[in-house]
Amino acid sequence: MSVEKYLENIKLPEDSPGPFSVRLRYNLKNQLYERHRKRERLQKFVGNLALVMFILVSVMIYRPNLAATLHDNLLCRTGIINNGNEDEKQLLAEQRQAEIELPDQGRFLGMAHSVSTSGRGYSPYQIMELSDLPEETPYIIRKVKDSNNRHIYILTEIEAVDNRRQDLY
Amino acid sequence: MNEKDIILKAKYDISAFEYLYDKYFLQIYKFVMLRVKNRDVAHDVVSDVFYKAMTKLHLFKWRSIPFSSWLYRIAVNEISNHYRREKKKHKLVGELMVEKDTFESPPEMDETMSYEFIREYIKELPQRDQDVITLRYFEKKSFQEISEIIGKKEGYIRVILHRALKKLEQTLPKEVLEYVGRKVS
Repeated sequence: MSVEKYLENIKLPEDSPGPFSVRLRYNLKNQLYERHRKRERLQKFVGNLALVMFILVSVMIYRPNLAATLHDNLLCRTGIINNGNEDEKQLLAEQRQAEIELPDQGRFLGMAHSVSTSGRGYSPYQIMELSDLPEETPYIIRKVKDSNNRHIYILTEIEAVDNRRQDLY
Repeated sequence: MNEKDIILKAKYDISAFEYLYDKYFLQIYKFVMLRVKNRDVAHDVVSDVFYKAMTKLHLFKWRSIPFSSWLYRIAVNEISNHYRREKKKHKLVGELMVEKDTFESPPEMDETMSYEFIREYIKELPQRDQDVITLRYFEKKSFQEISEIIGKKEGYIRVILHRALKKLEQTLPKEVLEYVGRKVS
């Protein structure tokens, strides 16, 4: 007898799926299918979002004026984002403060020359605008020479006598 | 409504898929049970088969193969995936079990006509051979259907089957074949 004949006459087991069939049908319908649908919906949402983003970017590239109008009217006015005005104000305020604190460096920084690089050994400040600045404290500088030929600078603070006198400086 | 229309509808409507499920569940279940012979594993595999069929239904094209063959093809792939995973996981356990089987007492001759007996010999064959033998002799599929399920030409399936039968004949005890031959004739 050939194996072929043998296999054709084999008695197969009678396996009944029982409640598994019903359970699988329920799972497929209520759990697996729903999960699958959710994933499909998410994919659709992501696709649509990508389309909207693409349109927005296209508008920004080809119609920047329209994009700027949308930006100002929709986002800045509603307060969703900061349009940068506050930052600009803060910067101006800081700059003004710096000028008040350091008038010489603030206003005349570009006009100062190094003494050592000057051909004459010194570089007088030809700054007429200095007279316009309010004077806080006047000083006198004296240069003296000792027996060993050493130079000493003596700095003397001058006390203001009265307002009229101070105004002369 | 014919099956083609139902399949088209099932791509968008789960209730239409239920019809296909009812129609093919038992066939697929029996086939998987013959191939894995473990109820829990068979349940897992059948679940995977129908879940894949449901979610990948949009990929099914009516003109290439019939729907039943497409389902069988998914089942064949899932079974081979299962065995691949099992081979990695329980390699040592499998070897021990094979060794244990060789020390068992010879079977009663009446038992030789049962699937449980022949299964021990079939499972020693390569997966592809097991698929072809199961589809041909236990599922009673034609060569054309088997070639659609396996995705190979009919000639190739015939060659595979011929070689598988030769291997099986060599492994089966002679007295079993003689006994079965007497009983059938």
